[in-house]
Amino acid sequence: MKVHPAIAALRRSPASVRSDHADSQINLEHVRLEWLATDAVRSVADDLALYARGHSIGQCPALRELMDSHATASVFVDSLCQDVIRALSEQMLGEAPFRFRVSHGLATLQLLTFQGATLSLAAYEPLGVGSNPSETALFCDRAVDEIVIAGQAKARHHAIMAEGMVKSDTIELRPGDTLGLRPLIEMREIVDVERSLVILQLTREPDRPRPTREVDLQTGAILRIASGDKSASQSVMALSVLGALKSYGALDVMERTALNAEENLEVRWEAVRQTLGLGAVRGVAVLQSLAKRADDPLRQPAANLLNQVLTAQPDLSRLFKEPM
Amino acid sequence: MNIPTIDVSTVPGLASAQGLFGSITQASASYDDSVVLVMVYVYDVLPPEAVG
Repeated sequence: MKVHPAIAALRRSPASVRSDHADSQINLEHVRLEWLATDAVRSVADDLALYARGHSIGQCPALRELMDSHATASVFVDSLCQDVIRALSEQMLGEAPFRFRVSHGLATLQLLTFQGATLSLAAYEPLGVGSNPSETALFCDRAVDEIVIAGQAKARHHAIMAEGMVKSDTIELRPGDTLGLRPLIEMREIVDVERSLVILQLTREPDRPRPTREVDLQTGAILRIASGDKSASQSVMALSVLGALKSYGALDVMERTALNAEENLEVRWEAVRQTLGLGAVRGVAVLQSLAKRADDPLRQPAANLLNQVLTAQPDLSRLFKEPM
Repeated sequence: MNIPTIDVSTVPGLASAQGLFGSITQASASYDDSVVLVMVYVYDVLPPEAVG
């Protein structure tokens, strides 16, 4: 394994060297705080909070100006990048003090976030290989507004039409171009970057995003569906881990979750499954309770499963006197 | 009578079952930007001596 000499030195280093490193990182943090305190950023942050609460961009003047005007957006981004780059050049191991993500040819920095609304900076690098046109597209429950700060790229815009077919257009992105994408029915994909493309991106997601769909571009058919709700998926995972660990102490929570009509459906059903796994008797009681509810979307699945479980397990059937 | 047990793997999912968040990505896309994944930055602000 290759270890950069600077990293190796840091690993071996006494506390004083580590402390220097920490000081540099604190300097970077100061750069971020100073940027956040500027008037321009504060107005945008205030507007972002309004936008998160459901205002339209038109009702948020600073945000609208930022996402409409190339000059304003460029100054906004430059004011941050210049200071961060200067601080990073003084500290080899420093990290930009923002949430970030780097994947093949794409880097994203999350600049500001408030509840479901996020302002990010994304950089797409040329990949140097020709790409085949996509046959499918993902449609997420996320409103997206973008302005191109720099660079040039070829992109495709896909929109689901009223009759369910997908309309695809090729677009050329240049500095100052803006895009607005409605949740679940519009998306764009960057196909080929000619010069590094830097985009300022504003997104907004609801508290409980609806599922993401992968759609066939030729036919409009939905190929796959995945949850758009990260916290719901985390709960599903947590329930299955608790079940696998035989955490009997979690049975109360599982039972409450299964019966909570406000909870996400997938989460509730996972709670049903894990309750059955940890305590068959309690699980069957939960199924019975659900099967009796008139308006619960889990009524029918619960009734079906109850029938199936009691048929397969005569012992359980005998425990529950109610005829099924 | 034995206390009956049920193997979770035999309990079906919902008919409307969907993948977990982030479980589908656009395979043919040039850039992986369809799903906003957890973005985390970690840095060592405190020297080890200062911890605990």
